[in-house]
Amino acid sequence: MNNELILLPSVTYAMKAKSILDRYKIRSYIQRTPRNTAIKSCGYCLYVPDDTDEAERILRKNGVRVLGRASREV
Amino acid sequence: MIYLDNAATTSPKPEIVVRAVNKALRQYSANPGRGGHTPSVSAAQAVYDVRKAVQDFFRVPTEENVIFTSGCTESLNTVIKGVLKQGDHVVISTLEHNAVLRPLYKLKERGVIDYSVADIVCGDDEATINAFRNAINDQTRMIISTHASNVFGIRLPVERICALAHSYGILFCLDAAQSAGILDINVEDSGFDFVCCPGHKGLYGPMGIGLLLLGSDRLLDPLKEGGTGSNSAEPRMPAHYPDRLESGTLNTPGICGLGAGIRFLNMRGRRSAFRHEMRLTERLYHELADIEGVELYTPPPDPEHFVPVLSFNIRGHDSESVAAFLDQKYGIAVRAGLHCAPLAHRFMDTIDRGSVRAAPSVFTTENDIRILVKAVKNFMHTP
Repeated sequence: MNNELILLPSVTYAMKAKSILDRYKIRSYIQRTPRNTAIKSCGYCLYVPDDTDEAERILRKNGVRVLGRASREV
Repeated sequence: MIYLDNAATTSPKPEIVVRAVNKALRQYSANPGRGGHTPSVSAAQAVYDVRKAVQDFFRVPTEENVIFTSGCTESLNTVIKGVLKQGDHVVISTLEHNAVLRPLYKLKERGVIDYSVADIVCGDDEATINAFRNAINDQTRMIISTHASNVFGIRLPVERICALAHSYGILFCLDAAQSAGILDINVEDSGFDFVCCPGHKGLYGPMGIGLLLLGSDRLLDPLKEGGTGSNSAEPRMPAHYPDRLESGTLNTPGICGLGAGIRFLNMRGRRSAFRHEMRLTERLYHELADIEGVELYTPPPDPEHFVPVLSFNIRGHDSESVAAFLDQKYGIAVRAGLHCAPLAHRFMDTIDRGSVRAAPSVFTTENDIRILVKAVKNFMHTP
């Protein structure tokens, strides 16, 4: 369980988070939040294959509301 | 056709706006923020890019505080109905548009709120601010003020009125219908709590798109509830912006067109566009002032105290007949009547016949103004 998904409140936050990580050269991909996460509702998340912990810290520091983490559905 | 009704909506739209709307309809026709598939994410990215451009243009604290609406009227209604509660009092200026007056009147009629109208004093900011101060009472929750009159072009000292409001712990809402894209608006520095803008006037976007810019994270009651593509299992609207105030499918073509309008202004230069339009307005004023029988209502317009909007009348004639003559004989489009601003017309004592309003845009030329002046002179000599 790498918890490589960073769960976010909305598509706007997902876009914002991705643009912040792009500045830090951290690869990320926007996708819908899978239903098997703790967030039992529609939403968006970022799939961050590498350096996910660091990415989460950067996002929080930049004022992005992070709802949690989850593993990617395969 | 000489189009001088740019205070109603700018026309023509810049070519890049037309292309952006076209591209959005072709390439971003999936629903933004509603799916994980590539077309939906692409559309969401296009919307986000414009949100960011708006944030930069108006110096909004964060991009989430940029709310897309159907227009300035919806933005104002969202603020008025999302903030005000039973027993609240509001202060507005005497130059407000019906987009402010009518929602307040309805709430007053239902016994929810009360409001007072502060008389502005053209050319005396101190006296205008005093009028707002004198209208405040213990129940005053918000001051709503237009940045500039949509009829007479008069600018209000809104930064100082905002500071006055905040010194009393009162919220401040700016109606930027005639100033967005024309005057500098810096949400963060000014401290405005709410800024309401049309997308289709000074920002050169298409009709059907507007902005509500939030100066803080204060939670407004949504004007409408519905799907947001987020928190969908919850019956309540999300607590986060922009979703809280953006239920329903967004107007992607309008948003992309608005983004292109902002790009156009950035390329053309907002300040330089404003100077050009004011120069034309000043010329029109002085040339009309030289014509016997033309009535003007303000001192000569200068860029410090006015936006490029000018109203006039011709003695002995109602405004609609003058506008009809200009349209039919010269192909000049000006707006006559009350301009949805009865308070302003009562203030200037023009409520019975309205006024003829001319408002240039970046596309207006010196020659357009010359032809308008010539047409007004010829009207005088037409039996």
